[in-house]
Amino acid sequence: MSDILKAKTADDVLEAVVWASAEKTPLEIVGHGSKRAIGRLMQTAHTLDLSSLSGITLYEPEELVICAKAGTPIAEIEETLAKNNQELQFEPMDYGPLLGIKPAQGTIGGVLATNLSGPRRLKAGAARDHILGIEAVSGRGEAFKSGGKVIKNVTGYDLSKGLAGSWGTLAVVTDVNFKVLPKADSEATVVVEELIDEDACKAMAAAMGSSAEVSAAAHLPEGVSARFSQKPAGGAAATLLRIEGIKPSVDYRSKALQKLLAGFGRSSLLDRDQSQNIWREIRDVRPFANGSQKPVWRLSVTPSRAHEILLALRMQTSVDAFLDWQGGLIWLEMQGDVEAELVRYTLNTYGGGHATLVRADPATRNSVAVFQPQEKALAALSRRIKENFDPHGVLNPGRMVEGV
Amino acid sequence: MRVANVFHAGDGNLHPLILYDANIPGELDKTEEFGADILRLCVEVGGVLTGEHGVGVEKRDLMPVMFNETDLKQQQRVKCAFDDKHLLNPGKMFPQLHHCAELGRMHVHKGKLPFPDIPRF
Repeated sequence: MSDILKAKTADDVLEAVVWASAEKTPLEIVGHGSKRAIGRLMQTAHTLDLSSLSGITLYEPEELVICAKAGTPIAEIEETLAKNNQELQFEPMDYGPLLGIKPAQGTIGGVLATNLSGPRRLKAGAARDHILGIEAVSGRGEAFKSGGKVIKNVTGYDLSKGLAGSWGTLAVVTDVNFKVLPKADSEATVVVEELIDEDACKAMAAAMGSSAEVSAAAHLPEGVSARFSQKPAGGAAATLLRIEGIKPSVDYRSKALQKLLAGFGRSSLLDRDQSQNIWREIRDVRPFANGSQKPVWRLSVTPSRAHEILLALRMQTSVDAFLDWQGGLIWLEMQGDVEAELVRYTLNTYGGGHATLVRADPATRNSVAVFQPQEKALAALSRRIKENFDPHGVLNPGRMVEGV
Repeated sequence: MRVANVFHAGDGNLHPLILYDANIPGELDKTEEFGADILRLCVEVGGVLTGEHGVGVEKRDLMPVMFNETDLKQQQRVKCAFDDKHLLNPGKMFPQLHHCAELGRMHVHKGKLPFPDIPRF
């Protein structure tokens, strides 16, 4: 059983890491533990728990900035922003339902450490693109800061962005400053019905290339579509395109988009509430949030080749899948084995990309590479970065790659 | 000295244009010192040294106004991961150059109690 160290202040974090570094004893870094089931298994004698390092320290709606301690619940942040009709525009997803734990868990520190995003990523970017500054403790046991609290800042190396997606392997972030933006007044979703995967990819490309300013583009093949609570296209294949903005503009652009895509197939319109609901379910991978431990992959691919990858996989094995980010993100649920070699071989054959195993039982997570293996030179660079932040390997060692 | 201010009002980006006569000896130095004063004030009130174009030789020596030595060393360690022999634009961004081997060394923390104030469960 791991010994839990509960940090209440940034000084507690510093003290714990100074000690761990001196003792060369590894720490597992957790907030709420909502994404603990992602990544390789670690053998850490101690857990550094940041869930009590919590609270919003500064929120200036007119300056478009919010600052919080790393353990602040993401739910608290979103609630506070909503009171001023603002949001984190990168739409951070909630892994909870997919991983079989309670929804709406997770901390703002975890959002940065895992570089979360949602359907709006293709327009607004991910956590990495909205982080303004941090305070952190490196694995050397040194407190440092990077960035600031202002929107425009290019002073020095941007270590805040560098820590996005590092899964707690480089530094323990104690404070984050995020950019916030106004919520859209209104939204609607155009649903193009009954397209095969290939046509859906073409329709999404046409939509993204139009002047309709689409803020999310997903394709739910037949069978998967029926597993959403409101079954778009009556449960048949549904290609969804979200339009956001002020109401008259949303109305105009939705109609223009329907007209543009008329050649692909019949289309219908989801109103604001329906649209909000289905994009939340797409964001949180609702079709595969079924309480099972079937392996789920997250593939980042060339959008125009998503249908080729799906077809090639379906010829070889049994999978359920749907597309987000105009096809650039494939959510893939394996109906049998994890098939890591097949998945990565197929990915490399059709344009390359990244395959991350986000759900699998512990034994599988230790026997296959959870994160996309890096080319030799890149892997060596990652290792040097790790050594420069955390020379004794005390922060989440092995979470991403063995020995890093 | 006179200064004309052009702003990106929406995102808090300032472009102060300092007016000077290059024909007057010493005027250029005064201008640069004035520019540095403006940057120090920006940092003092919560801003940063640059919102566009980044740090180069002109703003390099002001980096310690915004960052302490630990902050700067951690940035330089990132440079070391990419360029451990300082072959690429050495001295362009950091006011003090450190050998990467020196930056790689660890401080030894002696006599520290293992976090007596943190509750264990």
